[in-house]
Amino acid sequence: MASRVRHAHLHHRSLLQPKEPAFWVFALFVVGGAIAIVDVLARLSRISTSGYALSWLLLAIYAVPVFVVVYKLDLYEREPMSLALGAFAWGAFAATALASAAVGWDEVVVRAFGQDFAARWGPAITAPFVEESMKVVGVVLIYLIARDEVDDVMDGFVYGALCGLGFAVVEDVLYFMGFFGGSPGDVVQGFYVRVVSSGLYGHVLYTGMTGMAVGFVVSRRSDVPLATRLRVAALLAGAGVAMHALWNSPLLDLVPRDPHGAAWLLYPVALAFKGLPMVAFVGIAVGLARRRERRWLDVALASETDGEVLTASELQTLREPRRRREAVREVRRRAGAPAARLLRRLQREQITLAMVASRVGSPDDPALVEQRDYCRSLRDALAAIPGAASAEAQAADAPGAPGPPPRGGETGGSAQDPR
Amino acid sequence: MGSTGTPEAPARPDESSSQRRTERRWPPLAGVLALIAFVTLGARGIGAVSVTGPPVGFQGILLVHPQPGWTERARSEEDGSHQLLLTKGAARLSIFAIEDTPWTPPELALDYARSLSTELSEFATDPPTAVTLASGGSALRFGFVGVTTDGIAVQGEVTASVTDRAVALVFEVQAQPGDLGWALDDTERMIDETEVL
Repeated sequence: MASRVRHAHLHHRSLLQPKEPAFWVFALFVVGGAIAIVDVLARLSRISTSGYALSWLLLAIYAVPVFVVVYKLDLYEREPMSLALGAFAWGAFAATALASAAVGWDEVVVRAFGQDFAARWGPAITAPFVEESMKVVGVVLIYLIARDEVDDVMDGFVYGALCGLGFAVVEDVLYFMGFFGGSPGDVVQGFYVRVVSSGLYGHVLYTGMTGMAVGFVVSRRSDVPLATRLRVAALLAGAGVAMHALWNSPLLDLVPRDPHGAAWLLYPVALAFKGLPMVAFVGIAVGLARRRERRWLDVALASETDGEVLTASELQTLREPRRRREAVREVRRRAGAPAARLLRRLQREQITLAMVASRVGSPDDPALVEQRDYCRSLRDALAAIPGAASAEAQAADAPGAPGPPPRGGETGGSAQDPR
Repeated sequence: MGSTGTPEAPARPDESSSQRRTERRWPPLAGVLALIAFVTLGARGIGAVSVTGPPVGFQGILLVHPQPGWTERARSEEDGSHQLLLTKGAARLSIFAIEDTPWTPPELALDYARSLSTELSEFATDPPTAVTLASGGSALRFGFVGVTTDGIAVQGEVTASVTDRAVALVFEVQAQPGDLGWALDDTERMIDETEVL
């Protein structure tokens, strides 16, 4: 009963929510899209089975690390894996199939601006509008399926970027097999152009930005007026679409035509002119979102650093994933693997404490009291292991640690829901 | 954040009225579906209200009614052999008519597949299926995939038929991967609506 009280305030929902109508819409489009896309891919695989297999192998080498990096961008609260995989599947199947079905926009551009203009600018006008809208719909549906899981801007980035990654993987297979020719040599060439030279700049960034827009609208309802949220969201989503449009446009198109020999080496350099500013822009946006996450943690735990549940130096460690890992390593070195596992668990539960604290109305809420007790018991257990407590303290006091966090109220976050 | 309205997360007794929020399920979902419908079907809607091009064809043989967006790009006619190319974006519909043919639809389809195999590398076909055209004529239809001399993979479908007046008709649609679905929607309608004269 007690643990049910504690976890009633947490939110680790899975994708499988049959009571939510949005779940069935999501499932319908993903399954329908998968059938359509698999049919297209199966036809293309007949061009070259080995090229097709190589396409997936190379893209796995690219996509798995990117998935892990994006998934771990959220400093404190990893999203449920089923939702993360769902976002990927939406991008891979539903968004690709819907974007393929959205035909005729090129003709609209031709009719409006003429054939010559459309030939040059059509891809920069139609693809960003069609593809970004169909990808970000996946983030909106995930929010409607599990509303509590999109509770800050960073969550929106993670789900959006994973949608974008799924889209990029399937699109890359289509390009490798379709536009590059499909033989193993063609696939390697395609991989060099689309992944090695430009893999950093594509759909992951665009949809990460549009996902942030969704995250901002839905997570800041308690402290930002609707009109402001919509303005900020329009800027974020507009940035994602504009980056996509810039990438597809003839502007800054320095890529050598029909390259031979050493000219191939110019590809990454030429593409970097367009791509690196995008990476920098998204890096700044993600950095701001992570700074806000740290402020949220500081505010949420400001009243908990009494030394029994959490010390001020532990809070410093908790703020940075790198310092958390270092503390665990230090404890493992001095006190063994069981102590390291216990510390990792304590860190996780201290972050959970922050989440509970930011969701309950009162400092005496039973859920918060129970979570405090739980953290306290973990700290006691850790302290009972010889060497563990001193190792943890040493790691927390390591040089380079930032100063103490500002107390609640100095950060600009609201007391009830500082995220 | 706010209450989800589900049994797992009931509203707290101490929650202020400003925090309490009934989440609406259907309006946002309707908005999502409306966006999907607009993006996927909107351009077709615009195309549908636009004026389609005039019928094209070969005098005394057939008349094709182009779907919106399809325009005639090339034509050649000589010695009882006629050829017409319609395009929409990167999708192409080639129509061939050969008068006084001795072939049956299966022979015609086989010969056409052979000629495609010389133009496309990595050429592969689906098993042919017999279809009946809206005009009543019987035809053979097969899908194919291959790589052009430019190194671009194409997918397509061939419909081969022979009219009562011994005119061999071939409709070949070619599109890049991912585009074939909508191209077939249009071209199969055009084939069905073709008037054999």
